[in-house]
Amino acid sequence: MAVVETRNLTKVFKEGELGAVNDVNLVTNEGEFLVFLGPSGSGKTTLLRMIAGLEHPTAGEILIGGRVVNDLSPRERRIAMVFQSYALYPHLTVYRNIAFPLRAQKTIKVPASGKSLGFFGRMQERRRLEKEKVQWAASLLGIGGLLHRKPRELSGGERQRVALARAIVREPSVFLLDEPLSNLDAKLRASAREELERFHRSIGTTSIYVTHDQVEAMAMGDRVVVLNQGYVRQIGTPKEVYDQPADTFVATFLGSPPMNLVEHDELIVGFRPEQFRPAAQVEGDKVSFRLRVENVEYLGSEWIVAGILTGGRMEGKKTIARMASAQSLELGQTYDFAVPERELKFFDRSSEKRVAARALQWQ
Amino acid sequence: MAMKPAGDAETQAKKAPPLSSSLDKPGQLRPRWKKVKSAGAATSPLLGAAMFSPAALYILLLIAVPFFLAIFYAFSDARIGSTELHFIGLENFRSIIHSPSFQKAVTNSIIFTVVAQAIVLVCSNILSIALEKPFRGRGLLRFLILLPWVAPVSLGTIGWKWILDSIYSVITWVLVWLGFANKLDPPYWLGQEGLAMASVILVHCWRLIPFATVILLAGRTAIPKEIPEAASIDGAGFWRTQFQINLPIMTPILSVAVLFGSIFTFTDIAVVYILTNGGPYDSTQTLPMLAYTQGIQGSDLAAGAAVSVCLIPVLVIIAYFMLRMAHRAEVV
Repeated sequence: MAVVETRNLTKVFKEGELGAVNDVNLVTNEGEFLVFLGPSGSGKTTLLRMIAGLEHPTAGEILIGGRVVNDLSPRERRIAMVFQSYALYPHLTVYRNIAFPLRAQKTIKVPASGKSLGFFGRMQERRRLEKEKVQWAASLLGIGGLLHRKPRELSGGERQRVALARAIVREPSVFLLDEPLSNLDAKLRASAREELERFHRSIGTTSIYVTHDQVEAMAMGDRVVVLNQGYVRQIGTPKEVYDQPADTFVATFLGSPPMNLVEHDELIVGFRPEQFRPAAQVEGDKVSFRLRVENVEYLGSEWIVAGILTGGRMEGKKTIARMASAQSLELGQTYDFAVPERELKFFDRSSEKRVAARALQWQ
Repeated sequence: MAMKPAGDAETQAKKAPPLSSSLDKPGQLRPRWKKVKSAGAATSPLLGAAMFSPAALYILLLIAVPFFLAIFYAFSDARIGSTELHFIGLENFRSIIHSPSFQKAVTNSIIFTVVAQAIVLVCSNILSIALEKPFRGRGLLRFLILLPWVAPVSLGTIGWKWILDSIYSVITWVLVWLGFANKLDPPYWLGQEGLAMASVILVHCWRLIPFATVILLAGRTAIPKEIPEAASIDGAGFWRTQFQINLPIMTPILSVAVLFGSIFTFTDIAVVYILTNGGPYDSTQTLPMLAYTQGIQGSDLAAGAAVSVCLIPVLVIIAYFMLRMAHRAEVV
């Protein structure tokens, strides 16, 4: 197991262009599940590929287990990676796919006591040990029955497990996963996600997981690194990035529907849709608004109410509320809504960075 | 007896059109070919036949007739300048199989094909690896490498004839300059048995490497980028990635390159004809060349036909094995 660290890591693909990854500094914790989250083009995959050694950084350093690995090839970094497409070897059986890293890295060593076996005896012994190892990895993922199949004879979920087994079999120091769930259908994704979490808990290897899906990031990550345009916007636990977003990008990227943002003099004030409720339901210090309901969506467990603020200085601003029930609301009518004062987030209007909470004149 | 059901079918066919066209537009009888348009498919046998006939004629006149004529001649005593023709069974085959020049030609044809293909495979693989990754001037280099393939075989070979000439050879000149050859006793590239053979193989390779390179390049670029990347993360070095990952995945396309290359080499006559004419002492004689010398130059049409008929089973076997290989190597 090891800690991954990047120092001022930068990648510029073409000279003169904007960097795909800019000045990224981060350190994983031992055995942590770290998630890189960002929209497409945010540089999260490039960052992962640099850590894997598939991409050479333009500037900065990568450290794995305290050692600078910039000039080491992927094979020397002792990492394992699961690709978005799984990248199984199509011409090899599942068994040979899983055994490939063992043979390539010559991981299987016959103990010294086996010297008396002779050349062929040692070879047999090596194959036996290899088989044990492959079966261990396969049983960990419940694919012991598929070892003789070719990848094309497997379903998407089975392929993903083979890819995981191939990654785990060499007992790597770091696990890199590049959107491994995005090729699965929605139903399978939820169960695969849960399985992956359980899998990580059982092996406890430091893992870096790339995704554009905030649900995956929130559900799986010990910490989440939010990236946009090659810059790290925030690093924190799922709770921190959701409740204490560092800037307006993080605030709107996380959460569905996103945080409501309203401009107020030199500030931008944000509040989550689930905190925006009919005034009667809000207790304590609160900020009140008048909301004209424009649209109501029923989503089964919740209602999404979209409306426009009326009156006061927020006139005409579109906002969204998420409520347990909105049956009593009628389209086109205006209602009293409120947000608890402690749930307001404040951002600087020019830098869009978060600033300390303050009392504001709302009317 | 056989005619009657056919007649029945015809009357049925004649009855059918008014029925369907009356559905189209009642009371109006349309010419038959118009129905094709409304049906959206070639239902008229006449139109189909008309469209098909150029291709059929081409195959019939230019491929089938000469092919069967050659087989027919092979079993006859046809000679140039003689109008008489007798069927003599396997006599031609019996005599050519026992002739030393035929045996030599078979051996040579196989040697040329196998050695040239082996060299071509190695070189085109190296080239395709080198040309895969982008670098400055790659487009120009790819274009240059393709040139020997697009140039006419005969012109290219005539160029090689000068390069390998006994007096004006540039190769000899360079070797003498480097001190590897004696100016007064230079190597006769096309006049010494071993050297002549090597020269023919060299020219075949020169001609086929571009073709194989282009095919392999296509095969290589078709491999998803993540697969060799996964291999490198799994700990495979360059050779393991090539031999255990890339080449096995490319097997189908490799076999296409080998299949075409083998057939091109095995059936080629231009290179041998221009460079050595089969000599010295039959040392570069090949089957197509022998068919030509015996059949046309030697006026023994029947013997020439028999030699060329002997090419068929070999080509069928090559094609069969290659197609089977291509079929077996399935890729996701």
